[in-house]
Amino acid sequence: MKRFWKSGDPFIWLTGGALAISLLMVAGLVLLVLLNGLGFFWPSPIVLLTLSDGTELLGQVTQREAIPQPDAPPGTSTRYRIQVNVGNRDLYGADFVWVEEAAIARRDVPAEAVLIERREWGNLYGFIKEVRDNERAVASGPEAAWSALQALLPDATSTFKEIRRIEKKEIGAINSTQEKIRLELKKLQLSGQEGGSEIARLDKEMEGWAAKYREQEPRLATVRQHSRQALIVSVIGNKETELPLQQIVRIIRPNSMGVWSKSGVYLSRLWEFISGDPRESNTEGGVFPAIFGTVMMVMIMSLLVAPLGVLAAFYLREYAKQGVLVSTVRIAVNNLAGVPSIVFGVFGLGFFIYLVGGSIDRLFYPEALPTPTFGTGGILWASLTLALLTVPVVIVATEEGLAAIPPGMREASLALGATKFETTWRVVLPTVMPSVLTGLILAMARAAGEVAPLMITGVVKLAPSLPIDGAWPFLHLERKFMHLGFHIYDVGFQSPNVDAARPMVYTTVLLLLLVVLVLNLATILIRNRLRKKYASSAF
Amino acid sequence: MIARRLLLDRLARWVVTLGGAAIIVSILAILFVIAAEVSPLFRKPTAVLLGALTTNLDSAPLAVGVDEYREIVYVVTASGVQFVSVKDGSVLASNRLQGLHGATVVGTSALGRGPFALGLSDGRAIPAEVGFSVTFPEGRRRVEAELTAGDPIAVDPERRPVARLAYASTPNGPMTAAVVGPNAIVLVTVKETKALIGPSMKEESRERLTLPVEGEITQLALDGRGENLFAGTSSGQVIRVDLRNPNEPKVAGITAATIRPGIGVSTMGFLIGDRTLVIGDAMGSVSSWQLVQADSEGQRLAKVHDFLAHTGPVVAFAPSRRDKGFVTADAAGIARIHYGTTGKTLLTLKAADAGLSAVTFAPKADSVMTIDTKGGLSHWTVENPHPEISWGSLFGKVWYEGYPAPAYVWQSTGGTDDFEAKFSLAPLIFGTIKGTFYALLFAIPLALLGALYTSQFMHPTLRGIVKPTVEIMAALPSVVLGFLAGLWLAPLVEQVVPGLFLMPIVTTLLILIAVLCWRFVPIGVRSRVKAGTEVALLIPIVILGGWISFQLGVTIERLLLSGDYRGWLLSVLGLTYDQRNSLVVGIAMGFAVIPIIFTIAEDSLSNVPQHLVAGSLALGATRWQTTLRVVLPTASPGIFSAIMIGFGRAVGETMIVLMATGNTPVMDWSIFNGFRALSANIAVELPEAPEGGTLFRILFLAALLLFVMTFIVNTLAELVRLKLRQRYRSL
Amino acid sequence: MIEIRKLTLKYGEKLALQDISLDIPKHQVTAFIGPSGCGKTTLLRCLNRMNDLIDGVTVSGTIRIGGLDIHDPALEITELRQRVGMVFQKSNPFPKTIYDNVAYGPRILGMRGQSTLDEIVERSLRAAALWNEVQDRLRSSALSLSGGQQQRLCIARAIAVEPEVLLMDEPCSALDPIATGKIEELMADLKQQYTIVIVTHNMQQAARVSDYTAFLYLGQLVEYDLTKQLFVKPSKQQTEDYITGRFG
Repeated sequence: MKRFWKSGDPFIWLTGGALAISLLMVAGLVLLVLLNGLGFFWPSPIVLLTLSDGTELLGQVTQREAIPQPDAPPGTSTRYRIQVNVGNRDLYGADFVWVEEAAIARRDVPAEAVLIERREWGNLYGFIKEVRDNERAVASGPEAAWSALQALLPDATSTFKEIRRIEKKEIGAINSTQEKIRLELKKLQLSGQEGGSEIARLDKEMEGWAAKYREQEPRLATVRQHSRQALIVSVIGNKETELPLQQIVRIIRPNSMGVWSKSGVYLSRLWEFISGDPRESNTEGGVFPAIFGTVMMVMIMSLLVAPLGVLAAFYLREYAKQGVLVSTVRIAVNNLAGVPSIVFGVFGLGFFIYLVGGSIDRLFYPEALPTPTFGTGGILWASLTLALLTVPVVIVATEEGLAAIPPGMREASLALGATKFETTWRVVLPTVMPSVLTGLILAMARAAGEVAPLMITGVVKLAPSLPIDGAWPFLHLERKFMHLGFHIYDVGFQSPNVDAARPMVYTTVLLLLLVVLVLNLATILIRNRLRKKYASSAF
Repeated sequence: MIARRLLLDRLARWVVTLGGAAIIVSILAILFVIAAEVSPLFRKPTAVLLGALTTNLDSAPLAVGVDEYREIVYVVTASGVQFVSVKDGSVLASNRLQGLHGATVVGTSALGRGPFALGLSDGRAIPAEVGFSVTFPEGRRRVEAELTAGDPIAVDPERRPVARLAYASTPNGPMTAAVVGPNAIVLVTVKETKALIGPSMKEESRERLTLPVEGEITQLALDGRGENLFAGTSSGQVIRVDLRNPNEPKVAGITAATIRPGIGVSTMGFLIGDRTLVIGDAMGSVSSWQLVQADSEGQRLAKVHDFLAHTGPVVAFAPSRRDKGFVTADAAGIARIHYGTTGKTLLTLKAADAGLSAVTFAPKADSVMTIDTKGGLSHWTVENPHPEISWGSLFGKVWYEGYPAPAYVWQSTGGTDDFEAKFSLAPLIFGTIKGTFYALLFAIPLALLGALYTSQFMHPTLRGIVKPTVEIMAALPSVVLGFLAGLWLAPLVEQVVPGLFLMPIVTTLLILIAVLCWRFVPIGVRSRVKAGTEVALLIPIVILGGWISFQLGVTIERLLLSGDYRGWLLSVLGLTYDQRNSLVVGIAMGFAVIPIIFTIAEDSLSNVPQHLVAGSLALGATRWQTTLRVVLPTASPGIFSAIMIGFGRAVGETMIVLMATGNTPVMDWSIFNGFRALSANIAVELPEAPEGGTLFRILFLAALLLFVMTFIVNTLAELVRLKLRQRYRSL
Repeated sequence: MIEIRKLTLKYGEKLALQDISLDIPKHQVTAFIGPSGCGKTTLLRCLNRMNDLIDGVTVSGTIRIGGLDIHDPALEITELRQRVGMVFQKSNPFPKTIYDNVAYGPRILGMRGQSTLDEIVERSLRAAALWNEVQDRLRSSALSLSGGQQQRLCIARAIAVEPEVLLMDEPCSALDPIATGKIEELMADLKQQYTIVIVTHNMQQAARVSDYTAFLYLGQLVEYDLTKQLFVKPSKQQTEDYITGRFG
């Protein structure tokens, strides 16, 4: 036994055990996110549960868990309950119900049960009764109505899109132009002009736009009038509900679908998730604005951080006189990478938003005050803050790369009569480029996953418009934006309907994780290649 | 050609030097920008005398007040209320007080709380109110004052002068208390019932109380809720009369409130919110008091703070209408500005040569006006944006209103205007440290042992896989960890707490058993497993360990903890269980910290010069002995710096603590409770904090604290690491 | 060709070269020999002012190359270095293609025409006796060449800007005997066109390739003579001790 301890093997195995736990944790986390995130779009069957007291429930099973029985005597078998998404929030109030398994008398999978994803109020579960057009039945009975529906739906969808287009694009454009004219007028007033041709011209223009607005309204009404098709669905509890076809995003009968058609639905839902706008306070629909916001913010940040980081690193390593001061600065810069991100957010708020943004507002947008233009959180300030947060990463990586370049390389260039700048530009910079790239990608990965500083520098749960759109000047850096990470926090923790939102948040988590992991894997690969390259050149 | 090249070279040098230096300076400027936002918090308050005016009042002033824009001062004098222009001291024409019928005004209740009452020489009191209307004719501000008076109330049937009185518009109707005779008080409540049709009915109820006074009553104060009436006496007592049962007022307590018995109470009044009573005495001492719940006999008046005393009797008092500040004045012409929450005296103003008779705080708390016995008016602007902040109030215990004792409390916003903001950073710092502690408790053993294994015993091929995996772990966004911790881990942990605590023991035992068994495996099989790949065998063992612990946990819970560990915790240990607690945060934040500690520790462990290890092995030491005796001591500074950097990361982590704790700012070490950390507090409150306000600056201070804390820790770690690298080079 | 007069060089307070005067003839190979740390490399680096890159170096005395004072403030250092090429101890090709390595110098000097560059590259590579080995892979990385090839590439790169003087700082110290032999042959060819100064600690090499040899010891020039003379009949005791291997 003494030999057993003395050999040290038990300790070695214990240290190995610690490592195994850490590795299991990583693997478990990734697996958890994958399982929860990927499964969400798969159409699961609709079950019709008849409870022992005669109540019926129609919906999809979402969870199963053991019921805690603190006072039960030992040996009692565990009881389980299931969570059913019964949808129909407008009719029942709550759309998730817990049912004890023991209370279920019958479980059916009715082939004709439909799941309707609506633009408002979430899912609708039920059976199709008939399709109406202008209060008149067009097709009755599940099958007939189903096929009639397939024919009518595309048209209804395009009508809906048309209405949305008019509302958002055309009327939106009129509104924003009117707002611009109003600000212009205020600007003139601020500069002391009381009347004059300019003001008269603007007034007239304003009037013109108002007339245009009035023109749009009847047009919208006609389009709305155009489609009065509706679907009558009978739902559990002997009720019927009427649903305008325009309200339907997707209608499926999962119980009578094969694997192929289910895959089709899966892909179409996935596509909607990636490319669609959010619905129902972010708990349904897509996350496109969040993806867009994240990507754009990271892009702006990269544009800033790459040149600045490289410049600073070149200064520190190539141009500055090496000494105590430079080493101190180097340590300080290294340590900045360890300063909490929220501190950078606070700095961004105090410096960029209130100081810089506030000054810009006073100088260039006095007509809009007290509504701030740049003096409030926005994508530019958020990107700048993150640039500051990540610039040490780029500096450190670049400096490491510069230090790894053999000094002979620089000497060779200088001995050929090149100036320092020529040496730096033609020899050093191309050689250090992979390191810069590594640093930049690491910075991007860090920025993509960072949320805390954004919360105080311009991220919002629901941005009305993207930072890029068709209205002049096309790029709106002052706008607030949506972000995948914040979306996770907001929907997961601030959402009124967490049960409904959770599966979707898992998918968002998966998306964010994917972005960050891919970026990190890229740096690991680049670094490994780099190592090989240096290894072959050093002898 | 050559000239252009040289020019370009010089230009580049110039750009790089200037640009690079500028970038570095601007990065380092973060500290200064944040500090600049914080600094006004600690700026000394200042007061500037704007003007000293002689006014032409008809008699000696009794009390003074001013409008929001500081244009018109109103002064209570014998003839009623006189309005005086702040510009030149002239008395403005205005409506005179009606209903005096030849009597003069001899007393007034506290001004500045809306309606007040004037005591007359013929035993009556008149409710009155001063209103200001602001108009902007031709774009210029014009303030006009108006006095409205109510129906006189006959207070003293014997028609003695009413010199001391208090007035409050309580929910039950306006209430007037007045001193009649040396030890008697009359309480008049006017109840107004609004009839749907016809004139409203007024019902007057009157109570006469005789108080057990030694000496005579000198001051009265009535709170706005109509619950308590305080009477100060010439012998230094403060007598509390409980009015909660309006039909039956009763004396509820007598407190000696002045510096020593026999020194009389000379001024008395409430701070905004009517919860703190400020008492000034004839010797010049100023103290604040509040009611606290005593053990059995109900409430008791307790002294909260002593303020810087005056040299002579305190003659006047006025509260701020914005915050818990107040001003007191003495007979020697000195006025002092104090702050109730902090107990600090902020400013001393030499206002007049003559004795002062009244003071007031302007409604925006940006000015103090004093008036002396001769009618001389001094107008001071007070620059004091953050009076509630002192080092003591930020980091020490503070006795807030409504609290039984001094406490560390963070509560930045409340529902009402008179809310006393509680800005103690202590619970937040505590929360940060608590979270960090539990995270490190979880992370350090796993990370260090894992690093030890990876650097010393692991097969190089496996190492090539493990290290990137750990790097990936480091890259996981904290919002993802926080989300999983809050919504997935927290409910899960709640079900398996006993099992979770068993896990370290069970898993350790299981691994030891596995090693033992391994020795009995035939050598032929054993030799097929390469040294350094044990970890692959261990993974199923660890999973098994987890499963066994959870099963065992259920059994133990059923047998020992009476089937419900939460009930057991509460009854035996007195601990409550929050679903989102420090245990969950510890695991989640540990997850974020493990890779950092792991990477740095692994680096310093594997960089221990190989010849040292070889030397030890050549002497016949086992791998483990070599690791323990040679590698660990050599690399210990690196391990230390790894822990420091891990600490730095945990201190500043925001999203995990935000999402996985309840964010309640309590100070409690229990692992089953949540906390609120500095970082999460900033993220939660900063978006709502108005720019430049006290909360805004305090949150900047919190950020500064985080910055300084992490920066120092990281620098230390970095220096240790640099030193270590030099040592390795010399070995 | 190169006149060195009373050259003294200090690293901070430390004297590295002391009062050296020496004439290096045109189109000859001159070798600097001496034990490690004697200042031979420092002296070589003085000739194209590479020591300027090191902080704290002070130089006094004059050096004239082709009659031109190299410390003349009016003379741009880049111009000097272009006239005095250098090959280093460790071959240091840029991580670019073979072609780009050779074309680097001419491009910096502003040559742009593709055909001109092609011509220069071919001529330089031929002069460095490398053309035959690399002509069909000019676009592959210079780092893929062997050590000896890399060093010849560095020579080719140095002569592509057509210097007058070629400084070689122990060019063969990292090479095997065969590669060394090739470089030595090359030097014999190159001296037709260039004045070559070589630093070596290998006395056989100095004896084989150089026409003149200078022996330095502790920062001082001990003896300078025709190689034949110096190796056969040194006039100073120290020189004799060194070349016969009594110290070094």
